[in-house]
Amino acid sequence: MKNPKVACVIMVAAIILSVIIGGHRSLSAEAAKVEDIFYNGVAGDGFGVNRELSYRVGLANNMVTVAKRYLPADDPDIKAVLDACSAIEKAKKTTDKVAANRKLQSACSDLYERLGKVDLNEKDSRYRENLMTDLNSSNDIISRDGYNQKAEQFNTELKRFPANIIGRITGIKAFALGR
Amino acid sequence: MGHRAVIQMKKIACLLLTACLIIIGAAAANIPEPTEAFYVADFAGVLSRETSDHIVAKNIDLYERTGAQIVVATVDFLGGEDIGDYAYQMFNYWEIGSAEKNNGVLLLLAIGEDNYWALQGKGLERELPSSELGDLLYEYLEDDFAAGNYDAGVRKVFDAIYSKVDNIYRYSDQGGKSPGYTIPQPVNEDKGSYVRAPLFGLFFGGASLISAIIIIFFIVIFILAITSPFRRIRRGVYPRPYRTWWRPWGFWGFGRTWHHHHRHGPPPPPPPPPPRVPPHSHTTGSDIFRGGGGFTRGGGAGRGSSSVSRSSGVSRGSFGGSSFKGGGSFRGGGGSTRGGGAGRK
Repeated sequence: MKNPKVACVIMVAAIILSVIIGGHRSLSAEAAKVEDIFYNGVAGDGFGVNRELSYRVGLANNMVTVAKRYLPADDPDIKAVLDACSAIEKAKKTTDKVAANRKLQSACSDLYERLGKVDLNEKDSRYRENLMTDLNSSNDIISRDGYNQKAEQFNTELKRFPANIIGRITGIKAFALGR
Repeated sequence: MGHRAVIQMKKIACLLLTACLIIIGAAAANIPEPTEAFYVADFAGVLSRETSDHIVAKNIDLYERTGAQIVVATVDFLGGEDIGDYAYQMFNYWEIGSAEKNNGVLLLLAIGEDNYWALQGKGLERELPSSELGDLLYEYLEDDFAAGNYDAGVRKVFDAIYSKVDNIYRYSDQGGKSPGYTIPQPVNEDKGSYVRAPLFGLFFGGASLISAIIIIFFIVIFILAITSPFRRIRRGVYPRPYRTWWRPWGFWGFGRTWHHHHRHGPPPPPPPPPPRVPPHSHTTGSDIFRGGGGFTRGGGAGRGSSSVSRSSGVSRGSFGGSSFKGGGSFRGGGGSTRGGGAGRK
């Protein structure tokens, strides 16, 4: 402490460290809010994206059940749907879940198209249509969910200074959007 | 920044805000206001009086028993919007279904676009899934719609949807297990509000107190380090030389000692007594500090329903249109939809 310059450097370093720690806590708190909305919905009533994803996995599995009556179990289109379902169930982060959902929608669309070329009986033909209608409807709901708006707001804040630097240093990432 | 520049900026800001409101208002104009009858909005003029009366009468009974509302709307065109988007906006703007159960259904026919769409409220997503709505539309509406017999098709599909919704509640009322899931009760605390972190919060956030203490500590140390010799000189006190008879190393690290020293010069004179202030002079410019009464947070916005806040994005206020306060007997129950639905295959 004899040297004022050293004292100045130490003070600046302490300020920078405080800013980083404080900024990280602030960003983490806001990210936690967005995560909460993903799981519990904007109103906190459980109508969140995660609930819709579980429903979609059920629908996709039903479509696979129908498909297995006409296609081999190791068919690539069936496997793609099952892999996407598994990815959603195993994903821990919201970003991974959202990415897996996109793959699920794409895989289900492919399987739907594939089954359209197969000679289905009347009942299974109806199942095929209905399941795809519900999958599309559910995807629409996810795309309109309030989570997307909140995630977008967070991502916008994360791009601004100094949050962009603090986020990069402390590993806080942007959220994937469900639309 | 000069005073004129500030005024100029305020004018520009007002103009921009006005322009934005006009644009929003224009966008909202695509969704018409609900009619007085509410349950039938035949803007395209394709429904007969008998069908309209039938729809209204059935809905009155259904609403009284269950809070559900099945609204039929016909328009000519959608103004360039996707029919699913249009239906979503219309549903939430008209607040179809009860606020508590979100059990509304909207059947929208876009005659000029040769298309139709049905959308259910949030509370019917599982009991009346989009696939089932699609089936009902295909079975009861498609043939007549394709043939241009809109009135007949609407009558049939409305009865089918009514029967389905009625059965949902009739089944539940009889104590049976509902085929769908039960809607969780909303939690009162606002978990979903996103509070934009102010710049200060972004810097210090949750560690604000600790960070502030650390920073203040270092600032104080720094200031003491920088200013201590000047502070002593201003007092007319000069530091002793480094070598003293008992503290040769400058214990506090500033190269000076803190023990007593000799004053040079005469002691400073005592401060003069404060002047007496006449009692009336306190009123001058001091009213602002006495303040008047407390402040108010102000009234909240006059929102009709809390359930709209649960909708996934579109709220009534965002349209900027006037609220439907009746003049008519019927109005939306405050319900909302999250989207989805089914349409023409």
